[in-house]
Amino acid sequence: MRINLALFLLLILGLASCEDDTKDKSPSGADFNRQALFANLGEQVILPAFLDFANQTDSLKKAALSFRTQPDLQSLEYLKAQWVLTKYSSKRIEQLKFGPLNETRMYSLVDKWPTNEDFIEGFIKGSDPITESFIQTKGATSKGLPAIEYLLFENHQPASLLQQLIDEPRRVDYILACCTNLNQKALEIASLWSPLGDNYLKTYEESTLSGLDGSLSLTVNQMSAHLEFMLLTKLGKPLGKDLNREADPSFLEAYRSEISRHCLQENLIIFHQLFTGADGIGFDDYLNQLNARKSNQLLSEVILNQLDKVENQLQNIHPSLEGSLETAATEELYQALRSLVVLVKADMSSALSVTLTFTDNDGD
Amino acid sequence: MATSPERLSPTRYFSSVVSLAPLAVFRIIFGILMFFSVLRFWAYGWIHELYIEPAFHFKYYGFEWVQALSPAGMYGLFTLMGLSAIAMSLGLFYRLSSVLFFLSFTYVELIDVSTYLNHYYFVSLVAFIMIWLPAHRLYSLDVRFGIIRPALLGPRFFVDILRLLLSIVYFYAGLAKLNPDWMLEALPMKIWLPSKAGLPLIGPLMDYEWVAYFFSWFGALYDLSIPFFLWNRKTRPYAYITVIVFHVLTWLLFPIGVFPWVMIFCTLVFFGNDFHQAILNRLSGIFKVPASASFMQARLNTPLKIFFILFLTWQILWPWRFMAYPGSLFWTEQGYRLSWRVMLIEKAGYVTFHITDPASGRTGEAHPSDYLTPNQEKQMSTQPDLILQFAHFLEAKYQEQGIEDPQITAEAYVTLNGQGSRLFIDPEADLTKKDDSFAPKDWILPYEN
Repeated sequence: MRINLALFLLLILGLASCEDDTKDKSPSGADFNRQALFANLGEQVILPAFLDFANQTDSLKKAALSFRTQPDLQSLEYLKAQWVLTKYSSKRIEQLKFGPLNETRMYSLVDKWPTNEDFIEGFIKGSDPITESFIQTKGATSKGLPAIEYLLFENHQPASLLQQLIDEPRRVDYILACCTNLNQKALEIASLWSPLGDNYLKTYEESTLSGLDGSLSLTVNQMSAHLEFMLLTKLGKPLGKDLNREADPSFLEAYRSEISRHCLQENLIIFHQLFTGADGIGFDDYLNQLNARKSNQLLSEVILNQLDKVENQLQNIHPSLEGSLETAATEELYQALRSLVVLVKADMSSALSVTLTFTDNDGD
Repeated sequence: MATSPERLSPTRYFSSVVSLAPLAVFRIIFGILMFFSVLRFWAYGWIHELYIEPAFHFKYYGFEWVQALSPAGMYGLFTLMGLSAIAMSLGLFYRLSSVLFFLSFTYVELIDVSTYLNHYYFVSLVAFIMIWLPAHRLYSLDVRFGIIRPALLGPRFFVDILRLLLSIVYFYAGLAKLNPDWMLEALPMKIWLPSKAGLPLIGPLMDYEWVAYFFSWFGALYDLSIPFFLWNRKTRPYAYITVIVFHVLTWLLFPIGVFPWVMIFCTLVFFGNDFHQAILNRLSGIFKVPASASFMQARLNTPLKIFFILFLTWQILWPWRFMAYPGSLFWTEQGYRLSWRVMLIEKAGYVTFHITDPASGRTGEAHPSDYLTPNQEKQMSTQPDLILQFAHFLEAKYQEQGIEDPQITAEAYVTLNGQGSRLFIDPEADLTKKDDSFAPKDWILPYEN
């Protein structure tokens, strides 16, 4: 009940913040308002993403409860569909692993992959009651979205999966316990930023200094680090880019549900929103204000063009990344994403004077 | 008897004698500064982060034999560094402590090129000079305990060599700023300053272009002129106030650690005897000289004089070695280090290494972030010799895996002073077939490619 009240309050706040005035999109002169930049990103992009995740996990928990009450094909499909929506939402907050989400390392508790199937099967075969408090004590690779994916998508035959879940109710208990735990964690994560919780939003808006803990450095370095993570881990590894490795779809993030392509898409959507500030001030405006250029073109335009290329390449992949690993289209996607990483990690970070450093060592 | 040096012939100059008080004060201050630097380094966890955690260290050419020690060894080395710094400051077993400080400090600095900082190089040079100076002949525990006979006076060159080294540092830092990017485009100040706009009071100014030009020009003018104003007795007090203002400002604006404080305190050596004697008088309780002591005059023997002159000549000539290399210095960085090019360029890059096994025809990629710390990766991405070293590191890795003759190329993109990233290294060059040397690196692509 307390959780529902908290969720309600968070939603109200989220709606209120979404109705905020549209910020001036065209800062001019030397008075670029960095606080307005971070206020816009915090209120229009970041907090709504955390609230959406809390919302989606709540729906997922309800879907799991509904399935347990009435296990049939329809409730199973609904549960699976809700898992997919929650996963998409999770991919948007994955880009936001800075500030308290990084310090508390809570994101790994909701979406650490690959999951450990042996652990999960071991817990299910055991005799301990499977409840949220049971899941709470388990490690990150035994719970969260990937664990639920394993239980819902490993078996591709709906009827067979339904029968398996009916025959083995502890599997359903495990799903429900994971969903409940996930919802709890999502609320905790949202409360880190929410003005009704720890209110990091305020800190974020006010932290306009240039140091490592400043919002500029935190956000841009995470945008850069996450793009590189997408390139090397989400694409490079399954593509077998290491000398001694073959292409292997099981290294894809969501190969069981076959939504790895869409997961990348969601990653790019939040990147796009952070970069452009959605409908308000974003890093593109800041780069334009600084007159950052590459080859006589505004750097912001070069980055947005490259982002478009990556998004288009992603659209060219059919039917799924899982089935298209060794195609020219996927290789082109990889190369396009690498070019975007260069632009963000080298050009953008340099233009904004936030190059690195994760080590606060003296410079020069 | 202090006479202005310009009126002296070389012979008279080298035979002129001054008070050694500035040396004693310098010794005390330098030792304390270094002691606190060691504490600071330790407290921030940088011993672990920079020297224990990394699996790989970038080596200085010719110093490949300098290796990181075990964790206990590294902490032991820093303990030795801290203790020798404080012993130096007290003038206790000075010759031994100054040698130990120089060796321990320089050894640590030589472990990894990616931790190179100009002021660490400066500290190494000062520590080296200090070994040979009679800075412990007055107001030291060595004198108090009768380990060495006191000397209040000594050759002027003993004091001037520190002033000359400081002058070289400033003047060459100023000369390095006399380039079109710095003077005509206010780069990289134009990139760096806006990110400081959140600072209280002066922050809002940082967004204005004229402020970037002001900082660039003032910085160049300051570096080029401050040594002369510090040498001149009349302008010295005003120059020193400028030193304080300048370095405090750089400390506020840039992440340059203890460097401003090192320079603020080291430049005190330009002040005259009375100033330093007044400081020493306050410390006479600690360093009291036995009433029975007989005073000597420190001597500068000819070999040491020649050695110092050669040292200074090297310092004057070494920064010019970049002229022996083709291409843009800031782009190739051949002859860039150890030359007082301080806070001069904004550079960032991204490197992917491509590996081919000729035996099987298989290809693959390697990514520095899998092996290096973020700081190492950052430094490597823009410095060709480090990219080469890393390629050789990968070569050894793959050979361990049974690939006898891996071919390794680098796809490196670098941006310099915000001018847009471009290819940095010839992507066709097999770096396993290239060796580091002082010869020009023909596999660095020209800046204007």
